[in-house]
Amino acid sequence: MHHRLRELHAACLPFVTRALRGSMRRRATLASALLVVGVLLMGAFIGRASTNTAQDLRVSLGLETNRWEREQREFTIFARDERERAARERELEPREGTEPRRSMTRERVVDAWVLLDTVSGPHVTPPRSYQELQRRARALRDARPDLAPDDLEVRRSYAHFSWNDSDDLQRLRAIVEAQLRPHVVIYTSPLDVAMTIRLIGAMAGGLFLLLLTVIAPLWVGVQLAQELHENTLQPLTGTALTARQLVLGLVAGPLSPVAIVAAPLLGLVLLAAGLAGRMLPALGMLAMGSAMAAMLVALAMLGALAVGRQRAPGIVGIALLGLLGTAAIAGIAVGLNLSVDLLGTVSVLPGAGPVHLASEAFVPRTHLSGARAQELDLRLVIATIGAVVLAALAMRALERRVGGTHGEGALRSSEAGLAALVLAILAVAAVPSRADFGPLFFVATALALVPLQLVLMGRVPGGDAPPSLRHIPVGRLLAEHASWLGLVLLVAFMAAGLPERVGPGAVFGVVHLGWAVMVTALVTLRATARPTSIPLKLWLMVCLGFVMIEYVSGAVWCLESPSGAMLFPMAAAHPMLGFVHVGMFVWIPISLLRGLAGPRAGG
Amino acid sequence: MQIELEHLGKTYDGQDWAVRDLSLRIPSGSIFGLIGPNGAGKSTALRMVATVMDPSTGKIVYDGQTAGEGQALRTTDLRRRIGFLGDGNPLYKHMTPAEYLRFFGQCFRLPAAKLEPAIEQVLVTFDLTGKADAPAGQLSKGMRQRLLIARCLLHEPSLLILDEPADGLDPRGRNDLRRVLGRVREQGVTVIISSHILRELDDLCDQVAIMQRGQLVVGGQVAEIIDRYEVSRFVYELRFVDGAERARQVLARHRALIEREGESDGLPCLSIQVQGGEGMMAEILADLVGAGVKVVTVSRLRSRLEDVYDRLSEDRVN
Repeated sequence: MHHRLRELHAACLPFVTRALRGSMRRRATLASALLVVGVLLMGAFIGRASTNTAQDLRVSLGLETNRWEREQREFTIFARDERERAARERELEPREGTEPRRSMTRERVVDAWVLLDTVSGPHVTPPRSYQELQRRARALRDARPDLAPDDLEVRRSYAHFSWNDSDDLQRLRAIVEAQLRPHVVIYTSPLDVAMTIRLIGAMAGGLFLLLLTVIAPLWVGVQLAQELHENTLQPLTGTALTARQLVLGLVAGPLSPVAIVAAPLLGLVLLAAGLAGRMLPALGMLAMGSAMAAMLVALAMLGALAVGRQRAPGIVGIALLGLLGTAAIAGIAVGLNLSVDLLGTVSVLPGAGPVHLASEAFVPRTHLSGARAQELDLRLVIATIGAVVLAALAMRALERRVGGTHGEGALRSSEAGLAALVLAILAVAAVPSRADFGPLFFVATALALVPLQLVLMGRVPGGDAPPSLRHIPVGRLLAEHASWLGLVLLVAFMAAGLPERVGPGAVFGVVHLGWAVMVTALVTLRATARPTSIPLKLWLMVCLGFVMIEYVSGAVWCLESPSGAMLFPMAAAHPMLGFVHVGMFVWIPISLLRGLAGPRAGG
Repeated sequence: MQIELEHLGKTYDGQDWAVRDLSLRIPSGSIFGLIGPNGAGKSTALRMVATVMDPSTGKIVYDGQTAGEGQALRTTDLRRRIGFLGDGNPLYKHMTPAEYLRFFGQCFRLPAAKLEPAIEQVLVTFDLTGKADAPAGQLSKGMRQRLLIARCLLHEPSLLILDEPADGLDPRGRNDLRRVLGRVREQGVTVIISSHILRELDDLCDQVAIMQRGQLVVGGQVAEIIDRYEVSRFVYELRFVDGAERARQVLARHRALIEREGESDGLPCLSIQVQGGEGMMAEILADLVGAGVKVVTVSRLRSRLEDVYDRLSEDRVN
């Protein structure tokens, strides 16, 4: 253990020192302090301030009911300060011998009287339990005929009251209790100190997750892309650091300023969770967020390694920001509003699970119970373990790529198999548990097919030979790809069950699906293993277009038995297009295989 | 450190060889020059010696120890004894030389107590003290190259490998480089240096190897190689007062090849290559005098490494 820690220290020291050299450490510390102060001030402001802005923020965050609704329901008039309160109180005082002035306060009282009038009508029959309330309302109305508005008949035609509406009932009770004299109070935030602490915890947690799942992978990816683009990685491979240490250092360096910024936020999260008594979901959020961050960092590094030499770091950064930002926004949207139908998405959206747990820790919104809650918990655990396994495998691939020892592929065959199994489980877990064999089954398979291409890329031989000279064992790689897909199907059938009936058209469906899967793998191999030109990239996109057509056709043939004209669906539009479709069906695999044939064509 | 390359080979596709059957012995403490045109396989050979590339065949022996085959990246102990400057080594533009050296010193796992004095030392050795805190992007090309070599020597390696270190340097930068390598030699470090500019190496190196198309053409001590290839090559410098036209006619009659025409110390001068050795030159000289050419001096030009290289290249082409 001591030896491992020493090795880890040796790996991280140069990169962390470099990342925090000069004023960098000071800047990171300053940013960290500003962020913490900002979170505390903002949390305290939103939680406790009585200003219009704070109130609007609370309302927009769903922490407080709209002011007008609250005034109606509680038969209360909110004043900003003592002066306004006194003025409103004066408006409520009766003036002897003079006509009452029209004012907002007076209007509230008249509105309240109209409501009493509405519920007191001779034809209104409340449930037995509310008859006493109606009697009191009627008595109060009769006691103040002076409040009857001139347009009473018109108002009566618009008036509405439901004895089954809790808001209506609460309003009526408040009016009766207050004897038609609204409470005039100085407005204060409805959130207490405990809720404000939770709010601060939620804000700190949100920012912490943002740093973890967006900024950290983005920063690590961009830094690695820069090393590659400026060819500064090559001299590092000749130092006394092993490839694994280099990869760890390349992670630790860029992460060190992020860690300085994130550390106090983490402290705030734990403190707020401790004070709120919600430590378990907070720790769950941290564990899951860390696992997702590890996976995203490793994937961002693999992406940077793949394109960093040809593309400028800025381009890589923009692409990563687009992907990570989109995933984060989707994760926040889903995580804050997890429903029964969406709970599976926590296994495929990296941000959804941690956001949901952060919400559970500080401002619970989702109300899943019983079996559904257990299903969600299971998926959260699966997603966390899956992310850790995928991160570890991606780090192994990185290690081999950086060290130049990926002659047999960045992933070994067994590692690729494990990655495929994890992806299969995650993809199947994403499908709602109520789903049986149907369209969703094919959606899940397609969902797994996309990341399986990343695994296939990891199996493409690399090393120090130029791409055009590499020997690509196409047959073996296609067989491996097929076995991974078999694993996906196995897991999917175990989860969703076998189809109840298989029509004769399913044979055609399997042919279409097989073609789509094989061509997807060939496109991946062609794009990864050999140099590509712009026309070739266009051709590969055309191939992927046909893959989609074939995949959908295959699914349709498996689920239904369409007419024979749908064997090549483009023929349904025009016979000539049908011929084109058949031609492409034959030519696409041939062209891709020809492109993969190297100095010694593999098989 | 003494290096032995035994039948070293590298192929990327199993058919064409970037380096083939390269066997060399580089004595400890010597400066060894690897010469050859672009694409001769110098960089590939150096990368294999630097343990950053695995050989396809053969082995490399470092002070009697063989690097594990296919284990280039696990040879960290060996790496600590090697300083390698590959071709196209960029700097981190925003780092100062001191920061850059500190970074690489830590990558070579120098202890903290040893690192700072070592940085001070190499900054002095390479005349970079005045620029120690300036961003590397603001340094001149010569300074950058010195910094790169300083980085390679920071951890006190016993083997320094420099791939085309003078590429892109101006004459002053090249002089600086020679001076630096002289100092390195004094410290007993074995230096392997590659170049396609032969004048940089022939009076600096103790031994050279000339490579072409991945194979060793000739190797050994510089003086021995020159002597070996000079036997059948006689080049003389002829200075005379007047009679240039007559001299040409006499030389043409004796089928002597005029390699260069020019002036030396204010007198016309011809560099001629004669076929037939010292006796032939005596005959030519007698005929020149007989023809009225007022010869002032005749001196034999010793061959340079460049001449040997040209000669070998011609042989290959022919």
